[in-house]
Amino acid sequence: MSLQFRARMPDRGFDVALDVAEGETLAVLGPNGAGKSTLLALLAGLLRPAEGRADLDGTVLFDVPPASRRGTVLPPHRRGVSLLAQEALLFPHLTALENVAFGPRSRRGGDRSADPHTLARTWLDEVDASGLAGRRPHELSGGQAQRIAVARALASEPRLLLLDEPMAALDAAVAPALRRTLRRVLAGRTAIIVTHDILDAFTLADRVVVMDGGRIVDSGPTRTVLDRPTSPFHAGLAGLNLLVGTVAASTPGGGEVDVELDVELGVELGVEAAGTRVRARADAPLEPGRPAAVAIRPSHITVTVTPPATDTTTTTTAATATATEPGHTVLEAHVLDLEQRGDVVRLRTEHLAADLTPGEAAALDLTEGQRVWCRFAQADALAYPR
Amino acid sequence: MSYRSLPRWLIVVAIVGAAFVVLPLAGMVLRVDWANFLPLITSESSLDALGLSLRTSLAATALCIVLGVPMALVLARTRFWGQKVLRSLVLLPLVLPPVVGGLALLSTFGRRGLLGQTFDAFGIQLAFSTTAVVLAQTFVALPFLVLSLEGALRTVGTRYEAVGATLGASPSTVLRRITLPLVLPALLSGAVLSFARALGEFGATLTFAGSLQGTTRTLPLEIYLQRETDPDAAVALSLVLVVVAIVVVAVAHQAGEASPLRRGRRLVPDAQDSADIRPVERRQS
Repeated sequence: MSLQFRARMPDRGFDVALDVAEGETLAVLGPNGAGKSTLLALLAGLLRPAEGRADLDGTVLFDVPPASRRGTVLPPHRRGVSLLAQEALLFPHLTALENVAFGPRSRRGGDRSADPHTLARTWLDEVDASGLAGRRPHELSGGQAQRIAVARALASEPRLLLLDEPMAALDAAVAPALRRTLRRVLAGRTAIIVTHDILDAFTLADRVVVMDGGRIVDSGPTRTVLDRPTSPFHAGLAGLNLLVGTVAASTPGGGEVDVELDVELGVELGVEAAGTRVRARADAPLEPGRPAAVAIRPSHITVTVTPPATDTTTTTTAATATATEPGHTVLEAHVLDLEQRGDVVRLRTEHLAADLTPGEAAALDLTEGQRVWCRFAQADALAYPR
Repeated sequence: MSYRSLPRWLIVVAIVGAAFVVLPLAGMVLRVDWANFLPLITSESSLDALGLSLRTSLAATALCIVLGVPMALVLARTRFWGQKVLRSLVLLPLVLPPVVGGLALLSTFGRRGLLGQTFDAFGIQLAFSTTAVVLAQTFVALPFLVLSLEGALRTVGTRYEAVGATLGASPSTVLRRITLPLVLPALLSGAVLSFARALGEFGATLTFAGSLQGTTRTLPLEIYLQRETDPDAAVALSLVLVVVAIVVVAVAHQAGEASPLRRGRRLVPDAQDSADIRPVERRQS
């Protein structure tokens, strides 16, 4: 393990333990106030923990026993931990080149043989910014400045790189270029990136932890965590519909599962509430009676304004939300709002969101509060334990 | 065209105020005996006073920087018990009548003062020496430097310093390569203001250092003395001080404008680097 971290800050309700492997990039997701910035400040040495211990490549960053004013806390400049913030924060009195050379020049004891300016030029090259070397920070755009800040952070040769929403303050048009740069320079580097953006987690991180209320609520490989959200925030981040309930019945050996939905969670279904069952696909066997979650992509949901049962000649009652045709589930809902998102229209109801094409949306001619029926294939709904 | 909402009567009062400041200066200039101006300001006693004033004021400014920079940093960057009280006390010379300041110095560094006997034991007598002039000037000028520097340090904030530390710079390196360069304009304007205050010092100097020609009689003391015997010389020397003051104000103003944080907004729009992140020629405009 490259980084082992555990710290408590009772006054902030912060209590986190995490490990980052050598060369691994960890994404930290979470709503505002989840404690992500506290985590970074503790690692960078800008904040003293009330209690905890962190170890980076055998160097103790801090070791503070419980209820003690003593303990060791290594000052920031001895940690080998660089922090890249939302804003570039380039030193305004130095040129871009001198900004990047700042770390190499300041390093104590280290390799003095290498000329800081030569090193700085190499790093400017690395982020495609060699042409900006002579500029002052006020002569740079936001994207250019952040690029230089990346070079500056890397030039100090940190053992751990911290990134605090590095793309958040940039124009949407500029972010992709910086994201490509980060993807390249983060490969094989021990780093922690705090982000709101699911795309950052997907493109930059090997592993994800989700924080909420100062604690880690979920963690795992990026794809697994993002495909199987367990909290509404988490589901919103991943862009998935989340239904939670209890396993009612499961086929032996997995494959198919019926989940009885929780009504306490505010999922007010337009059907006889208790006992609403959703049939879903399961990768692993789920034990009946255990809590489970069902995730469905909004693009996999089709919406009709008449009960689907009337479309067919079957006599099944649509209101029971069971399969109207083999392998499908229908839930009745009411329209909350419609929103244009790129080339799809996102329809939100009280419990499910659906992505429609503009043509579909126009044909349905939906208004707020209108009754609709949402249908999805059982194969498109994934059930997993929560 | 921007909207201006000032009522007319307010502008009239403002003009009266400006006239109140400018007219006395004009009145003095009109009273200058231009025919004898050069001989008046180049008399032996005048040159002695001018030279002494410049030397002591420069020394006092240097002392203000040496003592004031650490004071401003400690006040701006740390928190400790009694800090507010200490800040008020440090700024006290700003509002204290200079004569009172001179008495306070005399009771501390004078022959029978708090520390005077200690200095006496080493054969050093501070009171009524050129050193006393420098001490008196430093005493009254120090708050100017501390005040302007502390304000600038708070405005700049600690974010750049934190970045410097995470890049591996020790606190001394951060101070030398980040903090001080960032507040350099404020340090310069603070130093210039301190110099001006030291140059104009009268009350504390007279009380603590006396008025010995060539040793402790600075320009303001000389002007005060000449006023009794040779009013023309007093007016001529006053004009010299006015000119020095104008130069000082201009320099301080310039230094304040040159802050790297205030120097211009972004010149390059953000959209540019999405398409073009290769070398962009520096604009000539």
